[in-house]
Amino acid sequence: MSWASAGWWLCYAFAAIALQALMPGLDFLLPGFILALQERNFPQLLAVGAVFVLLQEGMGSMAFGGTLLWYALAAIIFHVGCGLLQGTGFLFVTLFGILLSCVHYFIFATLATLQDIPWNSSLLFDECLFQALFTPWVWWVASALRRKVIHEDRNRQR
Amino acid sequence: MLPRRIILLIICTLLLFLGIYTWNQRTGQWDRLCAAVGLEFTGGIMRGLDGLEDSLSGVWNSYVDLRDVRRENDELKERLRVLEQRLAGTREESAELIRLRRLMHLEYPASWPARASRVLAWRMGPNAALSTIMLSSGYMSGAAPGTPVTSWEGVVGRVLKAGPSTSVALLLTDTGSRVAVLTSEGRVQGILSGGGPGLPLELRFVRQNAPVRVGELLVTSGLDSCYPKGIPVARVTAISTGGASRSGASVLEIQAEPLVDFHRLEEVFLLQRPLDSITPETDVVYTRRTPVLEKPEEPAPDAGGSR
Repeated sequence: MSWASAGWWLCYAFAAIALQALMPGLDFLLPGFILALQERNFPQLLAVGAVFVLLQEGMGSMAFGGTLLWYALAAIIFHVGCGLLQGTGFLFVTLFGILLSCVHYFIFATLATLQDIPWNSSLLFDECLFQALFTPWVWWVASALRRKVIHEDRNRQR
Repeated sequence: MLPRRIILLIICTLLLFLGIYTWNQRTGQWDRLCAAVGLEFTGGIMRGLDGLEDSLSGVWNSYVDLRDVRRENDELKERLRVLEQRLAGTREESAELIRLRRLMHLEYPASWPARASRVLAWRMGPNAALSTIMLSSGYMSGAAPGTPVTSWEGVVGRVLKAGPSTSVALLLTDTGSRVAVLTSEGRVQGILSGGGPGLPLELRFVRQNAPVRVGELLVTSGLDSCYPKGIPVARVTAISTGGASRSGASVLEIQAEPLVDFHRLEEVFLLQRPLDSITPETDVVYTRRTPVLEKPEEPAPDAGGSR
């Protein structure tokens, strides 16, 4: 991973956390994880995934595990989805976002029940709906910015 | 072949997750790591954003918004005069209270020094199942799990988990929150539990004929060893009869509203437990499986009645 790439991920994490403070219950790091999945750079994916899981679990109030399972299932679903559709298109990310929101609903409901925490189904549904709506657009902006940064970095190296 | 591999992968992932989850439930290692790294990093970012917001509003207040300063200054001076007069009266009352307490041989509650802390953020991220706030103090600055959190209006909640310089506090309104309280006039004891965001608090275990009235203030009783005695918590808003406790005893159904306006909370106090006070149970902060306040553990017959 180059310094420009690492700096980009750091800036992305800053922006995503700031957005999460504004919109409670949503995961703005997920579009970044999708971006890392699409780049198919395994060490980078592992580093980004681990940092994002630590961040989400650190700021959350449930016992450890929810984000880890969610991101792991996202990686598997992405792997399966790439066999059916082109994994870099907007349509793919939109469908992927909807599916991941459904997965999040079930993981959250299961873990909250396991930990004996009462959960509001309509609030969770709304959060998942917003997650599905926001994910492709955040991914779209992030991928455009990343392309620009990586492209400029490559030009500079030449 | 491909579906079989994927199914195997999903099963392996779930098994691995269950292993990690169970191990973490037993040891709490992952939770501690996440609090030390993830929460700390998030706290740093939120502190930076908070500082940026402060400096921007500082520029606005210092250079742009100076129109009403003179009028506000006059108003504040007038208010200060009124408050000084009131303070003089209160001093006399306080001295009288001290004398009366001495006469009655009452013990003073040990003093709980307060440390100020800023509210950095509210519930964040997809794992925010509880009503919480993020604070700018961690266990290195007096915000260990279980530390009472108050504001000038009353009780806010208590610290749920803490990193070195950032912590997360569980709000009074969360359904997992329990505070031992008593009514300010009738001195009736009960357990105040959260009803969820936007819903009233519930005062439990108050007998049918207890002298409680609407509008009465609820203050901490100090019996849970978590909060010092006498901090205002909530105000009674509704009372109805016909409730029953788990044991079948008739109890009052009492609703209350918190005194703290959680939406306008910016700074809070972290109350530091005096060294000579009783330390609460380690899992008293947030636990549903063993709610300490609702069901105190019976001492074992062979334990000799002391812990």
